Amino acid sequence: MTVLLALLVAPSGASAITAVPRSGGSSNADSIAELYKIILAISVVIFLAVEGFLIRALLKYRASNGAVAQETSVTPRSEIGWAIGATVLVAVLAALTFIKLPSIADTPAGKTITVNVTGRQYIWRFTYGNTLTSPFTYTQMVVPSDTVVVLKIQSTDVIHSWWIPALGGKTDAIPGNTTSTWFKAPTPKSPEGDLYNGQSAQLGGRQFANMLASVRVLTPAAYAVWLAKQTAELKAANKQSFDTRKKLTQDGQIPNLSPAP
Amino acid sequence: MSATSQTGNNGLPEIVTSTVAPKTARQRWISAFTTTDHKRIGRLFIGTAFGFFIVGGTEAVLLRLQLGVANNSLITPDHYNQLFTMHGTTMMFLFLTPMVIGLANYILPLQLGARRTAFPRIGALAYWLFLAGGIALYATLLFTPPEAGWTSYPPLSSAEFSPSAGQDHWIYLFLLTGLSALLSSINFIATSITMRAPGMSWSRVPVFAWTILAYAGLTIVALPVAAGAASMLLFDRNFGTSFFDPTAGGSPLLWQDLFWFFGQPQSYMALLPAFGIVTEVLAVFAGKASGTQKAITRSVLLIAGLSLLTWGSRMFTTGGSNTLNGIFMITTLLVFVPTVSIIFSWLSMLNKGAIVTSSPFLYAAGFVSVFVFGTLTGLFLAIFPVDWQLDDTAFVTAQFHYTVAAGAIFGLLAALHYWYPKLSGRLVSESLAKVAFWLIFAGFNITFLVQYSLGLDGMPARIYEYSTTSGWGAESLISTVGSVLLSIGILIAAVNFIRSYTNGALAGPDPWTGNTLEWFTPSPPPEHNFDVVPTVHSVEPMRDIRAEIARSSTGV
Repeated sequence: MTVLLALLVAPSGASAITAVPRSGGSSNADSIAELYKIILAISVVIFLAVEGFLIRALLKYRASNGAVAQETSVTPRSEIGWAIGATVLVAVLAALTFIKLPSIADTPAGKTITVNVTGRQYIWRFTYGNTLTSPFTYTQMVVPSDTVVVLKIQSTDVIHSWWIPALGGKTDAIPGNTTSTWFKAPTPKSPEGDLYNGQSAQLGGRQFANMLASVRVLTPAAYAVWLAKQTAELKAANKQSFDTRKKLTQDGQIPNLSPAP
Repeated sequence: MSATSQTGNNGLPEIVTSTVAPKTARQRWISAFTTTDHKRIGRLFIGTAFGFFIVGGTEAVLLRLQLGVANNSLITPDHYNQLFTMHGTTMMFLFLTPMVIGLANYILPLQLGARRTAFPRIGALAYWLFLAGGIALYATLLFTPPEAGWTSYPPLSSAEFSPSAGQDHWIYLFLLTGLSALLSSINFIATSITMRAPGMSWSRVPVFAWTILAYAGLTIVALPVAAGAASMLLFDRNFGTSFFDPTAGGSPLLWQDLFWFFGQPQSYMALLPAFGIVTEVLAVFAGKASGTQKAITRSVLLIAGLSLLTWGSRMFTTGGSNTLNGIFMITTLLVFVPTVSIIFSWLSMLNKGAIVTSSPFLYAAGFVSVFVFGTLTGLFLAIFPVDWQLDDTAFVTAQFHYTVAAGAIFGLLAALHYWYPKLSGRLVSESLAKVAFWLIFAGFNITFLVQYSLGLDGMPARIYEYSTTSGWGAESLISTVGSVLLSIGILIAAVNFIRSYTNGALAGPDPWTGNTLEWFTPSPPPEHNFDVVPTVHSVEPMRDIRAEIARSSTGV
């Protein structure tokens, strides 16, 4: 109990203890952290009161100190009182949740891009568009700042869970389903952009610990440059691949299977 | 005593004697396998479950050693996944449930004033099914143990991604121990309905017996659903069906719904008997009658009912509708209401008591202090947007251990220390028990408190390694040190049990001045439990009997 109290009361700066989930990368993560802090404040008060009462009783009413037991019984009145108190508390928590929910769950209006996120053992793939020639990256997603980024999340094998803590909560990647979440990151401080790290949170097999993910946030202008470069490079690579295949087909080394990109 | 006592109808029980022919060594050996005595079955359950507790705890320490430092290579990734799967499965199905069943087998008929259980042979069958389940799981050590976690989510647990027969053996374990729990539950309910002592109306049934009834009722309602799901997984893996295979029209989420319909109440099933034990222990060692018992019984039954509506709280991150998430949030939060009532009842029981800090009391009070923390941190997981941040992280591991594992460690150790004199006829060494308790209490909090922080800092549960840049090293090391302390404490408690079995001081029938009928009979009780079953006049019959003896011996 002393340990519990000491750790709980200790100022968070004085130790490595983290008492609040990460936020700062997106308004939905910030809203979750605010909701969390409200529950934390209520819990700390209840915790201190209950543990305080418990410790006091344990120290004060010892038979070895000559205490004599006085019969106590829980009257219907106190039982109903506790029930009302607890119900009011959970009703307040539920109400606060529903008040905060739109700022967490609803995709905000404004400039929006969609990134398709595909999880598989043990890597994340990000596709910037819906065609076969759309640019894509693995492990690191690149997005523009001050833009709503909607993620369409899928899996090709087992269940994974998309999670970048500072950008909001988890969304599972479930084979056969498409799930969705969003974030909107602030303007980066440096030209290389801001980096937000995370990793899959759902057990996906032996190397699940290394299914890392990160999001690099660039200014919209830098993002446009990056995307154009990716598109051009992919186009060049596709062309090179097509030319090589065409040559090999003409030489009769491989059968002609695929149409031109 | 006066002549009236021979009539046996003035409240004082009549004493009769019986002779039992001693058994030969051969008869004793045969009877070890064929016994239908609920006390011997209970001892088999308790002893075997405690053995699995040590095994599951060893697995946990190995997991913690791997996580003690960043980029550790002590344990390979496949062995790590096998270890946490075995740890979770062992603790849930081979320790927690069978320990509850063992205690109930032993204590429930004694508390009710019954001479046996309603279905003694079913009680015996339940033990051998449980043992078969344990052997089925640990036989996988000879080839490849399961590695999809104790929750076995498909598609990871499907034949494609878990081709080893280890996963099939996990299903055999689930079905065998499930059948054992189901049969035991039927036996407990039938015994409680038909075999209570004369005068023991339902309102005079002790709180531990009520919590066992709640456990049994939940098992009968919830377990068959998950047993069906496990059978479907077995069919998917071996006979080409596709219940959970999304590439052939199945749904992986179907497993989660069916499994958690049982799995979420399973957490409460393990906790409710701990509530009953803690209530009885606090009352006895605070010198109180059970003035708070009815309130606690009501709350326990309410929790049992509500827990059947909370399974969706384990699926908040699966992308379902927020209306449904909201409903499951409210049902999960509602469990908080009776839980508050129970905690406050315990506090009012301790208030103005005359507390004797014997070992069972320490464990019970330790449970209360830890469980309060677990309950409050559970609020965060019930609020679904907050759960989106916390789900699948070390925060969940920590909260699970602060509630369910607290019930298992503190609640069941309180029970074992409380009823040890009844089982063995002897007392444990109190000084050793206190050393063990403080090591366990400190070790438990050091191990799991920092895991809340790790989860908030982004550490997923079940990862086998993390990088030095993650910033999780210091807290992970603290947690590992704590788990070693916790293990040392539990080993000391185990040594204490073993040593006291032959060396402990003789306990006599009622070493704690208990309130309930199991303390009326000798320790250990004879095969027929009671020479005479007293008539019950209240919820604490031993108080009445002591008062009656005091009255008649002073001649008032």
